[in-house]
Amino acid sequence: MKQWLLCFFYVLSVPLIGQNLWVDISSPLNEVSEASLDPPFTAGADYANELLLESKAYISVTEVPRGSPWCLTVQGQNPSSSVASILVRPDYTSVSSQPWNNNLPTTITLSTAPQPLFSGEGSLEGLIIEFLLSGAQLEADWEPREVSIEWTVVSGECVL
Amino acid sequence: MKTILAFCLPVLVYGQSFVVSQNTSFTLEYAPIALIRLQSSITSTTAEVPAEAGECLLNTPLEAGTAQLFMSVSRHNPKEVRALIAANQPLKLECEIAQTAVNFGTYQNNGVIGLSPFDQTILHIPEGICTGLVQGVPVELNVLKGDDYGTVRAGSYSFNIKYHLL
Repeated sequence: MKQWLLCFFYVLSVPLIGQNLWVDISSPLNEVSEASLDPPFTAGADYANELLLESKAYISVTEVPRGSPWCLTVQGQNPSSSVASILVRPDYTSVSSQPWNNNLPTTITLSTAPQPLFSGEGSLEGLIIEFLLSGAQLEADWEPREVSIEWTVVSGECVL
Repeated sequence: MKTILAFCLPVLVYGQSFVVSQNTSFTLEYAPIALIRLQSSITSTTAEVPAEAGECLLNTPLEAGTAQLFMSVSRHNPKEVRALIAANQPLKLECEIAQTAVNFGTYQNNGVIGLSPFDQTILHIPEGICTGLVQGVPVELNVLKGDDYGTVRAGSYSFNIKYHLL
């Protein structure tokens, strides 16, 4: 009976030490306006080729054994008819003390296929991911758009 | 044995391969944009002195230059560019929008418009438009004899034209 109780409590404890991924989005609403023109507020101008959005993702990966490699992938969930694309870019200065895979591209274009974005080792906190709007055009981009992203952390280094 | 396995279970799981996922979303909104400006705020012309006595000035329309309209208009609503002159003049001023390729988007002109103190549509933007910063939409201006031509005296006449988007 005692052994079964011990087993029961240890099995209960397993989810508590499982690897966790936390993603928080700051400023979930982004407005593109006259200030986004290049030059800003200028008649005749179109949107700047790349616009840094206010939204940022704050990523934490916890309960990963020290030295264990993992790969963070991103995948867009809703294909858009918009001309503009969303670029995803890790801010490496936010985790300057953490190792990462230098072979990965520094910026990727969000698509409906999962793409490797960041390669880490062990637990990590405070990785900032920036979003950019690329190639927006006054003539074509005007409807509100929700950008849904699935973030996945997989054990092992990112493979291109 | 079972106790040992139970103790090792968390450690074994800790070292296993893993996959964890999370979904997030954010929203992108485009604010309506309607900007218009003139490349140069002044155009001018001089009427030639008639060659013979008895001939009128402005027997033929006098070209008063071309104004370049630069526009950045988002696609939120169809828009119209309207124009009016500040006050009645003894001379008549006409404008005609030339059709030219712009950076992005299209526009539809309304032919020759006689400008007056009443607001008139000179071109229509069915979707969005971005003219670019080098070549705008050319607005050709012509001066003609007006209804009050008999009151025209030697001197200079100025027309203040207001363009706006509606």
